Parts: sequence; structure tokens; C-alpha cells
Amino acid sequence: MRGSRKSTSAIFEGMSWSDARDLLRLWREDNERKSQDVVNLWETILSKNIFKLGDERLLVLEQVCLASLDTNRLDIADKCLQSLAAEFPSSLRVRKLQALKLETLEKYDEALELLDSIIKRDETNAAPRKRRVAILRAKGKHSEAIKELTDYLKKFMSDQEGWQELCDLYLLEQDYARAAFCMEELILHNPHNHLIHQRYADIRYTQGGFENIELARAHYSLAFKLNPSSIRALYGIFLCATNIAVSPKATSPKRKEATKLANWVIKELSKRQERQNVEDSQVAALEGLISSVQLAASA
Amino acid sequence: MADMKLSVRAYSKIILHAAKYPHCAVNGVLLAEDPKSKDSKKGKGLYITDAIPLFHICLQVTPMAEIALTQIDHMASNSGLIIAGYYLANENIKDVGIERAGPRIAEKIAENYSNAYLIVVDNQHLTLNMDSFAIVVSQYVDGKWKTKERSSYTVEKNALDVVAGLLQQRAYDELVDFDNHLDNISLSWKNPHFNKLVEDLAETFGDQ
Repeated sequence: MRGSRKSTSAIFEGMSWSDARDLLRLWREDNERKSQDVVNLWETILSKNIFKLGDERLLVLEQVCLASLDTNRLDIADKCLQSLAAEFPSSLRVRKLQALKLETLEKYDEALELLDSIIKRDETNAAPRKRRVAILRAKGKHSEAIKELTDYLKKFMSDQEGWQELCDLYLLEQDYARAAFCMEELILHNPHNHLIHQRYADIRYTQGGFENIELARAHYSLAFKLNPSSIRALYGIFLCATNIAVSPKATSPKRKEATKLANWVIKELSKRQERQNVEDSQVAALEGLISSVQLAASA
Repeated sequence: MADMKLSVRAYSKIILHAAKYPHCAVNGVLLAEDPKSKDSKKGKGLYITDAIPLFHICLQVTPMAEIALTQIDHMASNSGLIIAGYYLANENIKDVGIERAGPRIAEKIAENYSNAYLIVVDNQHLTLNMDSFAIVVSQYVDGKWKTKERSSYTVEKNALDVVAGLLQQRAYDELVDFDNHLDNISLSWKNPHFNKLVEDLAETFGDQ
């Protein structure tokens, strides 16, 4: 027995074409990468009803094209590309999709040529420049990707996706300081996004050292304030507090405060576990850490 | 005489974790029977019985990994197991190196268990039919990770058939990694449900 999980096609069975269209629209707007599901929806429901979609038809075609390239369904991708190219024969957006198809086939040099031709035609077009960076990453050439992306960001400074990607690349190269810088840019753009504060705190914590850990604690706390259901932020506060409580650089009041904070986190975690009926206590393991911290802090 | 044996359960979880997130790097820890608690009749080899999938989001930062290792260690010592190794699947299909994702965690594990194992998923050998083992195994010797010959380890029988079956069923949707747990703490990273799926499927292959 497979338990409560249904196969994806079972979930979509009996779905109307308008519901399918709405689901695709939701995924488009949230930028979700549900490629296999998009392809399934297309094959089972939407491809027959494509002309009922009206204005959304072209957006859906583009979405399905991307999803089918992601899942190696070149048959579907080709059909979508044909429809799109027939509709917009000289469109740069369609050309970019064709470059993506070349990427899927690992024909990176041809893809780069096509992207360069798009960039020449329109210098202000950000999308092909970003695909160039993606190709370099796919080839494993991370330092070149970083260089290209930093050049890009000098021209397109407010592209948050670009800063996020640059942060990822720096992390892959274990350049934590520069990754933190990218996150700081993102915080400036999105001061209320708890995920960004949390990731920034993660990086600072990873770097280590008393100042970084205090900074991490501040940002984990902010992340938690912005999203009280963030378990990662809670755990982050706990780790920082336990580190501060045993740090020789911390003053005695700071250490006491940190110990209190760590205990508070344990209580919060237990509360949440009870609320969600989690049977075994994940907190027991952390209590072990707390006791070693308390021994040290009182010394 | 094999130095290490990998169970169906461990092998399945490693491969299915990688399959669940084809566009990400993933990692996890390997749990083995504590050699100190085994009676000497069972022989020398290390028996890796389970794998705990950890992350698919941002493997390079350490805080959640520290939490995870603390909790897994706690669970392991209560179950007669030890954290004996680390597994990893890189985001790039051709990459079987270990520099990119979490070398720190692997070395931390090796600090506690000196002959820790490192398994890297060989992405290019992942197929729906699983004709061959898609892993590269290394062991921590003298401060370096040394690749092990295929003959130095065994994988429990029927592993390939079980994994092929699980992949075709898309059973990876039911596999819970630590990131999934952090998003929803009612999901257990111990994966009792998935473990049962593996057991049941393994039984159907019986004693071939």
C-alpha cells in the first residue's frame, strides 16, 4: 500500500481545464519549479484545450516549453517552440527559449553564440546575459560565472535574482565574506524578508568568530520576529546563544543573557512540537548542549 | 573480504534523495552498527544500515548541519548506531568531487569516527533501471579521502531492483530530508514510512 500519497496524475484526474490553467498561473507567479507536474498537466488536460486559454495561451506555452526542457521532453518543447515561433517569428524572447533548448542538448557553444546575437540586438536585455552565467555554471566554470555575473550586476544593479545567484556561486567557492556582501545587498532591497535575514545569519555563523556570531544572532532574531514559525531561525538563535554563552570574549551579563535565550528557545521548540503532535522529542538532544553550556557559563 | 557492507535501506535513501532534487546538490549522513557493540563472530566489516538525508538547500552553511548532527548523534547512540560517514550528490551531473558541498561536515564526522566513509553519487549512472551502482566510495585514511575499490565493499542483494522499483513509483516524494523537517516539524527525518516502503519492496524480491 502506498499510504496517503497519490501519484501526481491521480491528483490531476478529474481536474477541469480552467483549474489546470489557474494552477499553472499560480506556479508562474510564484516562480515555482514544478516541471514534472507542469508537463503532466499539459499532457493530460491542457494541450487539448489550449485555444480556450485566450491571452494566457502564449504564457502557458512558454511555461510548458521551459518545463519540458527541464524534464527532457524535447518532443513537447519542440511543439511549443514551433507554435511560439510561428506567432512571433522575430521575437528575442522566443530566441532565448531556443538557446535554452541548445543548453538542454549540452550544445553550449551554439547556445552562447545565439545568446550573444540576442545581446547584440538589444543591449538592455537582461535575460540572455543571465543565461550566459547559467551556462558557465552548468559547465562547472564557477569563477568565470562569478566574473561574468559581477560585470552584469555593475550594469543591472537592482537585479535581486542576480545577487542571489552570485551569493550561491560565492558559497560554492566557499568565499563566505563575498557571499555575505551579496546577502547584505538583498537585505537592503528586502528588509522584511525573513528568508534573507536567515540566510545572512547562516553565512555569518558559518564564518564564525565572536562578532560574526553576534551578528548572526541579531539576524536570526529579526528573521524570527518577521516569521515566528521559522524553525530555522529558532535553531539559529539557539546555536548563537550557546556559542556566546561559552565564548571567552563575552562579558558575564552577556553570557547570562545568552543562556536565558537558549533556554527560552528550548521551551519554544517544545511548545511547537506539542502543537504539531511530534511524537519523539527532538529537543532532548539540544538539552544536552544546554547543560554543557550552563556548566561553562557559570564558571 | 569486504570491509564495508551497505544496506538496501541506506543505498535506496541515498539514490532517492538525489532523484528527488535533480537540480540541487544533496547530502546526508551514514549510520552504521556500532562496531564496539557487535559480537566478534559477525566479522570485521562495517555494516552501514541507514542513511539520514540532510539538505538540498545551501549545503555550504553550517548551522542547521550542526543541529542535525546533534540530533542524529543523540538518536544513534540510543539505538546502538554510530555516525560512520557522509554522502553527497553534486548539482552538476559530471561532478564526483567533494570540494563543493560540505567537506567540513565530512571531516567533522571523521573526527568522531576515524575511518569514516564518504559516498559520492555518480549522477551519470542514475537511470530508471539502475543497471549498476551509482556511487563512488571513499574512506578517510591518514587525513585524506581515499577512493575504495569496488571489491572492498558490498551492497546488500536486491538493492538495484529495489531502487529501480522505488524510482519508478516516484517514492522519493515520500522521502523526508532534514530541510523538509525544518519546513514542517511533523515530518520525521527518521523516515519510518519510507523505510517500510523499502522493506516491503525488498521482500517482494525475496531470495532471488
